[in-house]
Amino acid sequence: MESTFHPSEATFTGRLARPARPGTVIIFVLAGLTLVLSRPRLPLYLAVSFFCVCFLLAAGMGILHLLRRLSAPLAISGALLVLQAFSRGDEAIFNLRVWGITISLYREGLHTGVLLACRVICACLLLAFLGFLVPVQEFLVFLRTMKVPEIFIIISLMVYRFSGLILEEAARIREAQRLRLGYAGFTRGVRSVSLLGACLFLRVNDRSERIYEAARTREVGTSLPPRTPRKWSMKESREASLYLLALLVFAAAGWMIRA
Amino acid sequence: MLSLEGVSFRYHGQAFSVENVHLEVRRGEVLALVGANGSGKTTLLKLLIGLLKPQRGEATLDGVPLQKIPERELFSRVSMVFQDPEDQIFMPTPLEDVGFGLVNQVIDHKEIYDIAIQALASVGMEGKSTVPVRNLSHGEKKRVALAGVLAMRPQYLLLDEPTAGLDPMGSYRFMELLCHLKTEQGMGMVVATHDMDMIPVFCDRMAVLSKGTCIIQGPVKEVFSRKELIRQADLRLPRVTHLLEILSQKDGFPDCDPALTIGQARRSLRRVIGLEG
Ligand SMILES: Nc1ncnc2c1ncn2[C@@H]1O[C@H](COP(=O)(O)OP(=O)(O)OP(=O)(O)O)[C@@H](O)[C@H]1O
Ligand SMILES: [Mg+2]
Repeated sequence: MESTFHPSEATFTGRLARPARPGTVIIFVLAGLTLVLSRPRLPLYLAVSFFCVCFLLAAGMGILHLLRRLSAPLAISGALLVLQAFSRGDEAIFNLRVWGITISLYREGLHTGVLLACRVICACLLLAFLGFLVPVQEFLVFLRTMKVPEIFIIISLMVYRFSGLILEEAARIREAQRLRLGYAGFTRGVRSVSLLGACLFLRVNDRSERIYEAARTREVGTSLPPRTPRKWSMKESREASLYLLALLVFAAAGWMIRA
Repeated sequence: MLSLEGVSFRYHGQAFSVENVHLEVRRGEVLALVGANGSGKTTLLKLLIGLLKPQRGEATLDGVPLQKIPERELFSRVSMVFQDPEDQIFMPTPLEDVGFGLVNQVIDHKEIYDIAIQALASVGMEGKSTVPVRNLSHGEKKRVALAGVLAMRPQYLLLDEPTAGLDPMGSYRFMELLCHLKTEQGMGMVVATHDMDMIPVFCDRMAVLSKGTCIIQGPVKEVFSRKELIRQADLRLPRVTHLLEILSQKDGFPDCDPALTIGQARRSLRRVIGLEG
């Protein structure tokens, strides 16, 4: 989930005629997440995913970029699907014999696997949608407007910083290793990568500790959004309900086609 | 010879750019790279070692474009000490960090320990070789970062503000160490620095950067004689030079020979007061 808020995209408005209203996007995403996480319905997942992908592409996110973004959730959901499909259920769709071991693919497992995988991808797409359209500062302002307790805001800020830090630190360590011949040759490369993994956690921990200290000495004030909440406009709620309506129509259409 | 030939470079989506820079450093020579903050010193060093690829022009090592040299050969011949030691040190202790590069060079494992300790000793850190890096002071980290690169014995060394943050004696000793490497091993060095007083003592040539372009380069004495260019680049003359300048402009001191170091200034002044012929 960490890749969702990437700092370099924080202020992206892309090919949109005007920046999306943060309130609209946030409400839409929250509602979407609630639906997706509470209702295991394939048409709903497909509708939401379709909507997000279309919107992101239209808003100017490159298709390669989107795929790179989704690579982690895709891998995870693929693994989930395989695990489920080969281990859960009684009714085997087919059996495969390898070296005397029977591997069977189960109908029930396949069904839950597909649902789970779709759910993961769908939720990640929604988060990507949020991260792409709403700068993190705006997101924090929104939290404040909604009277979310301060501690949650600080935590979200920390999570945001932390996720950036991991990428940043990994890039730094890699460069330092490269200069000292860490990637000249296959075995060295493998060794360097495993070292990188081992050092990364400690380094990020260290860095975040220092950042936290710095933030505390500044009373966390300067890096947080202004204390006065923003005016909440009627327009934003209206737009969000339109988005949602569109989504439900999609879902209903999908439902009918399947039925 | 390590050189940039008409190199231009721009960071993706940034206004800043390096424009048409020619720069070269030979073995056994120290080139100082000076310029205000954000003038492109670090960028040029990264271009010189091939971490950044020029959009126009070419970076070459002995006439061969850096891209054509295998990484293994390139980075064992050219090495760089980053401005921020945090960027460079990633292993938990100084000894392990210095050892990292050595393990990658095919060196007998028994020797690695000796070389690493020797490198740490040359920067005065042998006593702290197993102290966790996170508990070292900034200056100590800088020394460790340097040791890690020195241990690899490159032919060319690029140093990004190596003495910033070191104590006065430490930075003096450090520059002496560089001079030693220069004469003993014929190492070629590029030193990005803000320390104007150090340059005449330890460097052979200097290049002045301003907003990504190299406005002047040449022997140190020659470059410092172009005072207007130095000031235009938001830099200053060495303090003794400045003192002599004030003495002659404000106090009517007779013009004496230009001096860049304390030794030179002393000689000029003694000549003016008639102590020396
Ligand atoms: N990775 C990067 N991406 C985009 N812009 C960069 C990057 N690194 C540096 N810059 C920009 O390039 C310009 C030159 O930076 P550089 O680090 O080369 O300056 P410098 O001369 O080393 O300054 P200093 O004396 O502060 O170290 C700066 O304006 C900086 O904002
Ligand atoms: Mg710099």
